Amino acid sequence: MAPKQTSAKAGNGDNPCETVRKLINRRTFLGSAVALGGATLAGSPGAAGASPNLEGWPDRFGMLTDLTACVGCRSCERACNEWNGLPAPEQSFEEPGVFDDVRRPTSRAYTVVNRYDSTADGGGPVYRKIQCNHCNEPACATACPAHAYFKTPEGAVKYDADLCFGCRYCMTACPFGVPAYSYESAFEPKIVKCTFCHDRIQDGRIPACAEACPAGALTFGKRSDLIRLARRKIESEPERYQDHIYGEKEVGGTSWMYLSGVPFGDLGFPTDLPNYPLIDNTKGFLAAVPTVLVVWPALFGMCYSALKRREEVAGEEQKKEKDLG
Amino acid sequence: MKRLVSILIGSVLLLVMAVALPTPATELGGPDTIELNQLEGRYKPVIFDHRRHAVEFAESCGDCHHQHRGYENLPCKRCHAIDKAQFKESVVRSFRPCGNCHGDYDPATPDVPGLKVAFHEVCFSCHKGMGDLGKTPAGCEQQCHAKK
Repeated sequence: MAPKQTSAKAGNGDNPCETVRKLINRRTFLGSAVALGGATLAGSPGAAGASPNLEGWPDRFGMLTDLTACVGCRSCERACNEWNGLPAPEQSFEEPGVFDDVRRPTSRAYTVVNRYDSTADGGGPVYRKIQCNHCNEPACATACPAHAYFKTPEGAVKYDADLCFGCRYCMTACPFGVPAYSYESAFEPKIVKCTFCHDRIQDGRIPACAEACPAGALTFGKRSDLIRLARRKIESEPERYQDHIYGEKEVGGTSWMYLSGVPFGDLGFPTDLPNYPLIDNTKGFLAAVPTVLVVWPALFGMCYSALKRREEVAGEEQKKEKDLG
Repeated sequence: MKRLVSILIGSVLLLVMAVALPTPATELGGPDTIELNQLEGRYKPVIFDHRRHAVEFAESCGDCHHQHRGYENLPCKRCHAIDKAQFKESVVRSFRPCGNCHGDYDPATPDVPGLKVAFHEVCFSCHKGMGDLGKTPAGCEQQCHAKK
């Protein structure tokens, strides 16, 4: 609906404030606000002004986890614990009882392996290793107000405890529920999560879990090579694998990718994630905030002062006419 | 003349039998037992009974080892098909079973597993599901790896 002229009494149509008032009346203002809100809620990547052609660091590394190969030996958990100097586990790494519960990474363990009963005929249990997936565009880094998270050229998403002030937005933002918080530390609590063994990668070594895995379930390499390898594996043994590389596209792609013989939803993987980075949900809104907070007050302030000035002038003229009359 | 014919037929029969009958692993040059001690930091060495696996369980060497036929998709030819001299050098002169290609894992060639993974993949192709292997972490000790 076309905006109708507001009830401007003055006949001077060249007044800039009149023009603005014509353009932005109450109805169009509300319409714009609703449209802005709608665009924000819809989170359209195109409308949000994202960088659709951003490919990320070209030589970044990744990890291909072949869940059909894992035998649940927990060597990866042990290696991670030893390399990172984490506290000794409450139960030993040979303890089979840990598989009775579905665990998640904690401040004492960057990675855990869970067991799921296979639904396939004659299939044994299926194991799923959980750790930070080191997203291409990490939601934790987006949510962090202190810039404590950063993505390295090697692919690792790292966290700087010195910058963190403990808001734990990252824990809410992570679509995989990975970051853990050291609640037990009264004075210096911090976020704890897998580092992708960034220190080892920089030394030319592979992550400790991958080095320890005897079963070939963890293959470390360039992410682009691993995607090709995963496709070849699926192609050569279609009866063994689901035709899906989990993490190739989820939330814009992750460094850690998975092949499975059973549907990923059966293993507790979130299957409702979009293929675009989660930052695209908020980018449009956040981009509009400076506009709303800076441009609008300036515009309306200018309009207000001009109107007020005109009223003052009109008042003075009326007073003069009265005095003269 | 008759004698010559019977000798000839006998020789042919012997030759056919020699080819047709299964040959014990040791007669093919393979070892009887192999000590696998790459994980000696954590476990006692595994004494692998090669002869028993070859004679009792495997139908052919190809059940466990790569052979030329049937492995067209393997990455072997990336190195071995470059030229004759390289082939001879890498396969004939410096040939070491398994370890020749499956050394330390190299991230530049993610489709070539390291030695530890290569061994375990072959073992697991039969042993996964036996006893507790694949069911609890204790299966490793139960099947092969005695603790130190």
